[in-house]
Amino acid sequence: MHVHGSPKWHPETLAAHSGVGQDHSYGSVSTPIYQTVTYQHPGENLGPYDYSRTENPTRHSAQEAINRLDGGQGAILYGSGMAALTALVHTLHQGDHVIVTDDAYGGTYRLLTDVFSKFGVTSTMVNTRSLDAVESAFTPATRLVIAETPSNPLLRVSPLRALAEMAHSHGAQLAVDNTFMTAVRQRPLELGADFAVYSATKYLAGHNDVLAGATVCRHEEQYALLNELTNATGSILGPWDAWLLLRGMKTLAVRMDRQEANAVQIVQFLSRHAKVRDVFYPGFGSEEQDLLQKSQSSGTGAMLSFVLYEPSQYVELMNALRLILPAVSLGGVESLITHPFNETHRELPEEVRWELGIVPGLMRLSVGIEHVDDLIADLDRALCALC
Amino acid sequence: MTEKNTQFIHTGQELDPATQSVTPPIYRATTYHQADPWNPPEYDYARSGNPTRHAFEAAMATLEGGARGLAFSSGMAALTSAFMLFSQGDHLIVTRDCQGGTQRVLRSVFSRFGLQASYVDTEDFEALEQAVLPQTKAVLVENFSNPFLHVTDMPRLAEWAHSRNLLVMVDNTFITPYLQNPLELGADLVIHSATKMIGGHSDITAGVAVAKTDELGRQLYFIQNACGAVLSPDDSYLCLRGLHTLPVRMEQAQKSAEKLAQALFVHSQVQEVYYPGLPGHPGHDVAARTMRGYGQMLTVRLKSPSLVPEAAGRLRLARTGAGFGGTETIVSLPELHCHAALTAEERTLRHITPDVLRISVGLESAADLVADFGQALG
Repeated sequence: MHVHGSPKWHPETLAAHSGVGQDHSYGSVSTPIYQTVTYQHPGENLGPYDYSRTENPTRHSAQEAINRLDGGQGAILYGSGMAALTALVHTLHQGDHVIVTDDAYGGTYRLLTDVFSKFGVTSTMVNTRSLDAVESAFTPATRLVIAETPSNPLLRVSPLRALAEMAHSHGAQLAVDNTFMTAVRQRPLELGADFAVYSATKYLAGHNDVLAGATVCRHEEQYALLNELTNATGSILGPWDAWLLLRGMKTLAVRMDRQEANAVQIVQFLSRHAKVRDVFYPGFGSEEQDLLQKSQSSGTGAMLSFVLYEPSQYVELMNALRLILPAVSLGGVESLITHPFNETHRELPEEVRWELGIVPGLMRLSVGIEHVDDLIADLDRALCALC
Repeated sequence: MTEKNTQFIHTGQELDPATQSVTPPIYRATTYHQADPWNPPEYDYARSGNPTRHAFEAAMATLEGGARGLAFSSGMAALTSAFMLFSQGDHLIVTRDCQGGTQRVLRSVFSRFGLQASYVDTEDFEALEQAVLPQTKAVLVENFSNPFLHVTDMPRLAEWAHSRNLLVMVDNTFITPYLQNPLELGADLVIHSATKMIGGHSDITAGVAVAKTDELGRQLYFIQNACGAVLSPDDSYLCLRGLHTLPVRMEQAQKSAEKLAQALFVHSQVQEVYYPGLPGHPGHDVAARTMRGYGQMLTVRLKSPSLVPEAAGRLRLARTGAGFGGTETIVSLPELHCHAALTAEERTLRHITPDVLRISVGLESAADLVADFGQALG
């Protein structure tokens, strides 16, 4: 990124300049796509790039853009968000223990309980909103806390500064899954976290056309270790996808502004609707959660969920929508709706889902950039059609 | 049953059901509309499945004679995902002369999680027998080995390993599915860095694994989906595109490799040539019996380490760097490139010293290559 000279650029400015001014050959404003595996090395002198699994100029540009946006000491891009999380867990050892937000994405739960448990890594799911609950989950072997805030799908807010302090006092590190907020709304590293982890598939890329993951590190040594292990395991992002991610990041701030404004209006609409029992949105309906969200984020994002009075009607609701697409994933320009109980969170045992409030009739809505009146009309028509 | 080289072009997966296009479209979508979410469509999320990736995976399964193919973001991601099949406390036997990345990921990542490995010459059955421990679960054979092109007798290895209840995994990157199909010779899992001859143009970083059985395929799919090191749609398409020309590329390159090996064998500055196609190579007979060719990779040991930088600097056609299997000839210096992942001690133990050059022969005219190496070596 060429915008040197001041550490005070706003995130909107940094996002718009993602990858800009990175071409040293011709000064091209858009980063070139280096679709190459290897680099010529006459004699014994290695250049800055030698093999694209290790480093690729297009990926490097995108990594630098994300790192700058989050204010880190280094960022690494992966083939998916789960690949980013897998690489982070690879920095642990057998015998280590992980604490994770209880209503985190189902894939995070699956990775820890079904894959890494075989390699001697244990994990505890806790309500990370409660510092008492987190405190009592620590064991002498705890090395990593993974917090997702706002959480998925119930948009519960966990106190990042306090979690960072607590993790550090136990000799552990804090990783924050910042997928829902992104650095234009929440900057975990500035709040004390050691890692910001992303499914970049979502808001960062923003068009439902790139599968990608990212980890931004607060400390150089941790970046060096993660980079070394990622080079060894090879779960990297390809150059085309890195370029599309860069392209998406340039509009991150304007997309998020529109999506968030739409979401706020939809929350108001749904909270007054006769067919809707409950609406979940960061800080909505709780002064304490609202204050907490405001203390650590500059906005509330564009993810919301709501519960129908009559759970069985979720089938009819999804069938009745004409604009909002029933599909998993989130964060793109088009609005998507899912039913987490049997889609995004089906990896969690059923009793855990019930306990957390991930129940039949809970709908998760990823609000897009369409005109808000069209979105509200679509929801209203579909909800009113429920008998 | 079609001829082997026809299968590389007509993989059975190339027709697009929607338009009858003769190449599969590149599906960039990460998510799919679910008109009936209770009967989700075949594809619902791109990490879990993508039609373009599936076309490449299915083509590889057909070519290798396995039940299921799975594509990953690099060859190391394919190997890492295969290692994730095991558990804390397990032990693997690995070809000693393996590519640097295999040894590095086992040393730097999997040793943290209690997965242990022993390195033996997998063509040496006495050594294999001695390496078996009660907790040994699998043998990973790299065939040909890298950089010295040792040849493992695959049918015999598979029979031996299965008699010891070991899973047989084969890194088949050097040989490609065109020259040998380990699954048809008894192996359980075959793994490729598709970055190399499969992609074939030095422009894609990719890996692929093919499982012999549905059950092993299901287990590896679980890891692929849970850990998410998947291959992107564009790169999947380019891999499929590379497969179409793999037979003609391999035929041309291995013919040139044989000529270059013969020319280097009699060169005054060359101490040793490692190429299984040379009759004096210790694995020549096994390769002749179990493979359909000798490949396009060769390694040479020069008479003095000081000749290496001189020769590398004088090469006009061949490129110097990491990687192999492209259309251009690439020379790798093991310490800097292909085996930089090893520690200095590991390299010394494996006789990978600064007098060694690895050559990936490309599609240039054999006469031009022989002349280029001739003038470079002086």
